[in-house]
Amino acid sequence: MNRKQAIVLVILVPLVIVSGLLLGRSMGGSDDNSSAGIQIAGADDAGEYAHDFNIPPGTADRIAAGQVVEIVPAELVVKVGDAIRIVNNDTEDHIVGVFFVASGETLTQRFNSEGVLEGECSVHPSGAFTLRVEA
Amino acid sequence: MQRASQWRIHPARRSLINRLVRWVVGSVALAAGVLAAPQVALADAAGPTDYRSEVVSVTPSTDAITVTIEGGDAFVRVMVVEGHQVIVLGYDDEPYLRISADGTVEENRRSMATYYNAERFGSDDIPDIVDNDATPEWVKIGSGGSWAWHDHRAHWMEPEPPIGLDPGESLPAQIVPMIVNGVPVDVAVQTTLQPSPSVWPAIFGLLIGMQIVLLGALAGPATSIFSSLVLAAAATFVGVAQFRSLPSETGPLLTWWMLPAIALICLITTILIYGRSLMMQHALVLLAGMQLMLWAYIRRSTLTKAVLPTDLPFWFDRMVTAAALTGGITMVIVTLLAMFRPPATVDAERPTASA
Repeated sequence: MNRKQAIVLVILVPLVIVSGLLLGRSMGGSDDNSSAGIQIAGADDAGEYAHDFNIPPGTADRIAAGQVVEIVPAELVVKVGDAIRIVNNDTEDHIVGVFFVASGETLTQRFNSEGVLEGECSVHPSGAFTLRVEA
Repeated sequence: MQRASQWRIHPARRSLINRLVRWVVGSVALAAGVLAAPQVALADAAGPTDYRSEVVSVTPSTDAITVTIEGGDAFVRVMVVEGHQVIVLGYDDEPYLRISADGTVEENRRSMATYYNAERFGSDDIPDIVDNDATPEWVKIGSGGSWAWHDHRAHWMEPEPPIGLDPGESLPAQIVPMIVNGVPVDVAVQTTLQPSPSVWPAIFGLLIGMQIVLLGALAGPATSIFSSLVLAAAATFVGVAQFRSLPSETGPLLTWWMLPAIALICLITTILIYGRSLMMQHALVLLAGMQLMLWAYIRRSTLTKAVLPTDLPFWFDRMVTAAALTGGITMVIVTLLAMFRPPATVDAERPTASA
């Protein structure tokens, strides 16, 4: 490699790297999502939900007081294409499996492929929630 | 004949070179052996993460303990004042850890938490001996009155963040229950998803690493070796700082600093033998470049994760990692090109060797 080639390399290669990084960053982000191999997406346009859950005000206080709270089942089975909605009317945030629903917010999800999603749950006595998506 | 005489070396120099080579090869072999050996990792080491966990309350308040989070969200650590006893409860409220008044740390080998907490995302390797209802069987694992462990109530357990959780939002606080001097104490821990880090330290590092080596190569072999040495020294510093940032029971990895340290040793040796054996110089720089590349590749997630397990400023860690990546690659490419360039160039560089 002669000096001229090296100078070209010094200028060109960084330009390519920076361009690639910036391009990759600008192309990131999408409304669609994937978790544990299941294709999921927001379902704000859904007219009807296969399952509609409401976390009422005072839920966190009831849990803290030692009461048994069971707003969602330990395991929920839905079909591909179904949508669910979780409305959190409590003053505290809640976690339902892989879904986080902040206080006062509504989460809607449609499931576009089969699979299993499982995680912690703050509104079931077992502390766990499994969602099974079947064909 | 000219080519053959080019590598003729005085016996005294050859002896010195042989000793240096043996030293470098020995160091590298020792390092490789240490890296290959099972590390003293009682839990898998903290890695870069997108979350930061914090202790938000200790109820009732007590001066007997200090509870912290280590490695962003990886470990809960409790430090107990001498003369006080603490029992940490497991996931079924069974006794899991005990720190006695003299600072002895023991774990209950019948508790499921003892095995489940071995890995950041929970270990599936739960032996038959586990029985949370059984009388505890305490096994000493440490001393000094403090211990850190992967408590899965203190971090999110899935590789992907929860759906619906935006950066800046926190998961519902979870309780790590303890018994301090016989009194139940709730340690509440909250985990917050962090915003993505700025891309600029990584970009700057990528450019710096490449420019250091390339500009050094343009200025001459000595400058090139010296600039590579600066890069290796910076990477070693970052690795050592990370290693020292975490308690030993969290299993900090030797690879965090040993790979760039090997690169540093190679480059120092290159300077020591400078002008004596071009082939050996190339081999050592090549090895150094590969070590830096490997080190940076292993820790590539530092470039994109929000929280790094180090006491250094995160931007500095990211910048040096990125610089090591491109610097290492460039060192390898430049050295290979130099090794295979026409002989005339070699003769011009080393007039004394061909005399």
